[in-house]
Amino acid sequence: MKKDILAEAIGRIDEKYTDRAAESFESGRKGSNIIEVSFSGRPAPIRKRSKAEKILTGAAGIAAAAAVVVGTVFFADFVSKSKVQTGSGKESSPSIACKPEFTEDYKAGVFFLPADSAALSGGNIYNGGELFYINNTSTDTNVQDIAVYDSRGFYLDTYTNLNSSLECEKNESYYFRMFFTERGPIGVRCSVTKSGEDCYSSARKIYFYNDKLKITGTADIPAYENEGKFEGYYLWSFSENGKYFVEAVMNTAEGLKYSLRAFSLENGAKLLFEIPDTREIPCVGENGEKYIFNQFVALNISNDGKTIQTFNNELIDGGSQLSTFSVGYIDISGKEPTAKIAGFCGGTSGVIFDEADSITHVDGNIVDYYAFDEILHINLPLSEKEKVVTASLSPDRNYLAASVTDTETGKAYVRAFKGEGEDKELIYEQPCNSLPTRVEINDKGTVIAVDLAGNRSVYNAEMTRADNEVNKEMSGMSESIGGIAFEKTDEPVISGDYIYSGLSEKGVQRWYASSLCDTSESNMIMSKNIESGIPAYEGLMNNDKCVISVYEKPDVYTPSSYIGSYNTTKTMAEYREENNFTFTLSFTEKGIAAIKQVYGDKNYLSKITVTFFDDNMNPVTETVLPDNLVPQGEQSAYLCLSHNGRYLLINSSQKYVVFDLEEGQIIFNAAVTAEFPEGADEPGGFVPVAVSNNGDKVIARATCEVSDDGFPAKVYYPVVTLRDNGYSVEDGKVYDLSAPVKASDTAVINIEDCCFYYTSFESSKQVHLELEEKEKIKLVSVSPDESYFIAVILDTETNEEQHRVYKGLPMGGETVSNLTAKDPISVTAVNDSGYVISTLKDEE
Amino acid sequence: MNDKQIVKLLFDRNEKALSETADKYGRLCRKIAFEILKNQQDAEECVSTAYVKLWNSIPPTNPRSFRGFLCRIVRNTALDTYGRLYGGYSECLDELSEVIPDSRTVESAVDSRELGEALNCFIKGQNKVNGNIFVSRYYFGMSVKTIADELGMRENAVEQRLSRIRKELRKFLEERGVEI
Repeated sequence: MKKDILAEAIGRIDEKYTDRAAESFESGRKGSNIIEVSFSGRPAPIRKRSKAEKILTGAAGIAAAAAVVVGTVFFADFVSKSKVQTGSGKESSPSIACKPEFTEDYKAGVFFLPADSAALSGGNIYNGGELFYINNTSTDTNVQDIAVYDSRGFYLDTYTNLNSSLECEKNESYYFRMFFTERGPIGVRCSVTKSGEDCYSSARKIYFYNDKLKITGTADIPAYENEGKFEGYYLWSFSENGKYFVEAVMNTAEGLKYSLRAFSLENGAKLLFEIPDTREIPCVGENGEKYIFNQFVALNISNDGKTIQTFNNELIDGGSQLSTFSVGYIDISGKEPTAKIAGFCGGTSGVIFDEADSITHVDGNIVDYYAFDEILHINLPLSEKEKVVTASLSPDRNYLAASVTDTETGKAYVRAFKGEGEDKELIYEQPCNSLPTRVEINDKGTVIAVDLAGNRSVYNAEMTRADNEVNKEMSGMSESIGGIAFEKTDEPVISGDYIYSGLSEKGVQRWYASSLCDTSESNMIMSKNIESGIPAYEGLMNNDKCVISVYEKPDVYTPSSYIGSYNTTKTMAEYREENNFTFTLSFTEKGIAAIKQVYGDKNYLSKITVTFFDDNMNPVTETVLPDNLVPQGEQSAYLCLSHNGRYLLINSSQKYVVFDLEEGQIIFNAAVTAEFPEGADEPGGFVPVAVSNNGDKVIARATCEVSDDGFPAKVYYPVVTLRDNGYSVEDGKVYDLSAPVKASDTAVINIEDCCFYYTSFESSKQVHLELEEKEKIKLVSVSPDESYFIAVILDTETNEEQHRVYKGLPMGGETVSNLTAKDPISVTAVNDSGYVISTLKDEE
Repeated sequence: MNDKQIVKLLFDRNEKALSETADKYGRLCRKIAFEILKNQQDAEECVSTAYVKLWNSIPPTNPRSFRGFLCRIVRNTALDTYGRLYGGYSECLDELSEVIPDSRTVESAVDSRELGEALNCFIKGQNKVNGNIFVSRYYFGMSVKTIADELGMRENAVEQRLSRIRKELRKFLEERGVEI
């Protein structure tokens, strides 16, 4: 009891004291042993790197299995990071630019990252639990650039010329290798000086880097005494935790002899183990048979520094040389080393030996995984004619990615599996144009695959097989979104789809898509019809109802998923018995709001209510407007809710009333009469389309030309600024209604062939897009915060449509995504993070 | 980005606020959580949860000190996750409860609010270093070694200061008749 009260009392210590203490240990010495993890900007759970960042063993003489390329990431989030930090700390242009260069094909859930002309072979993928590192190597021995991608495969940064800052003697060349450990990136350099025919290698220098790939410390590995005059051949590796270093040096001056050393790097470099000739290590097989190590291909060292894992090219078995490859473990914890062979491999084909903690070998449909703490033999569910080409497990071993080929047809696939231990189930597959020779998968199931031509693809992973089937089936927009799960509503869509991107009440990214469906419901709905150009009060049939389908995107790593659909007509009818009403839906930052107009005698307005719903479409708050705000003797009013859900604009008989729903007070009440641009010949009233988040600006609409059949042909959209003592009208734009007009809570967009006009509360902008002659804009949507816009571009020759996602207004922005859609798109929306959702048009 | 700007982003419902918070205070938060939970993965999950709570708290809250507010959320999340009487933090409470006078009658016992006010008064009267040591130890549940490391002091010196602070606190509470 006493402790409970005390604990509560301590919890009441004033923030100024806790802040002061926090400041003291924030600015104090950085003694924490906590690993820094990256955070991607959503209230999503952050997982630590569940296993170490994987590393590349320093097999300097072994050509990397896969070519690595520089490519283009087309998603939006990281465009702002297009400046990169070079090794010398100077900003430079990235070698990877976010520009629309894409291969011709797009597949469901796949981002293709095409080759860049600057990229040569010899790079590798380093798979961290959170990050992918791509080594863009211009030669086989010197690392120059490291490109970093986040766990979804989106480009973050490129660090260039990492080795340019290393000191270099005249006539000196050097091997340099980068490794990625839990401790951070580590580089190893070994200089080689040539003098006539002789090569002189020097001691190794180890460079520790921080997350920004800046050198933070060094350690020296002394040269062998006899190392001064021979052509060295090095295998290097670090333990997953970065605390140990192991190297094997082949001394050609003394025949084919390997020397093996292990160092602790806890405090400088301290020699733990050394054996001048590895052939002296006693080595046995599973059944006690004796072997001799003859030639290594790769090494790993365990996190406790007690075990060295070897991938052996040759073993000597009782005097005869075995040409088969094998995996061995050398115990160096005792006075004398002992070794055992754990398994044999037919060859190096499909073997991943450049991980810190494991060696993976494939044979048919079997994946053999050799780690320090366990060995897995995973039997993948393949058909008889299929075989695995290469495979890789995620650092936490829960995911497995495999490159699979059909031996009869030659078709290639990337397949992702999930499950604990040896039980792995297929979660998705993706056909590939060319066979991936290297695949990596991270703890979130994201795959990067590289083929021999250097093309790299990223597979966004949380897709299920069923999702992928849906994607394939829909084959249009869905295939280019990458991992999004599409759901079709059960209701037949008639017209008036509306897609809104916003946040749920809990701050989770949500999409709201409304569809008007044929039912027998009796209430009349008025809904915004964004495609017709009439933003409000489209009269719908009495039998219509509105279904709102909700999709949720909980965090950056998880694809959008279908939450459910809500029949709002039913909802509204159930919670109020009044039958004679209409309502307009508004999608605000506070959730979905229904603005209801109730009718009394002679169908005059008798009441106006604003109801906010929670994520489950249950009413949360309802504001009944004071009677004096309900236009008397009117059968309808124009009502607009601000995007933040705070201000309601009521317009009737040329009178604007802005009501603050939070404070319960009127902030503006005056007549606003239409002013028209020159040439307007059919003036009407100023109908409000949207009211700003401060309640002080209104985007208005007035008809200024009527067509022969009596419908509006041209409309005028000015911005009206409301003040205490009146208002002012800023020049608007006359929009031709023969082109699509789209209105939202924050802006109006009018589209012409290659440009669109965008009227927001702040200004009116004309945005030109660079299009080919045969192309024209079909649809445009701007994210609520105006940071992204998406344009649907119609190819007038082929009738195919493309989505292009741009970042930034008003200059047209930078294209960050270019997505192909084969089927016509009826509506589309982009949210503040650059994610896109679209609806394919129902052909009927 | 300064704290005011981060708070504005939160009010704007701009998720960049969270990445900015993580960039600026991620290490601090993990440290606070780790000191209580003594487990790195738990600490990281705790901090993730705290970010969500932060997102849900601002708005409506407009904290006077963003950092203090954030640290409070992290600390409370860590304690809520594993219970206030768990592990290392329980030791801190034991240590401090020894100097809190016991009430002789139920009527004379103060509640946590009154005791909290008294603690604030006490901290206000301490010099900055002692105040920070007290808060680090008993609010954030930090080990003596961590406090010593952070303040560049010897562990022994921190322990001696804590001992003196506790004695002063006991005297302070007795003079004010604060008992539990």
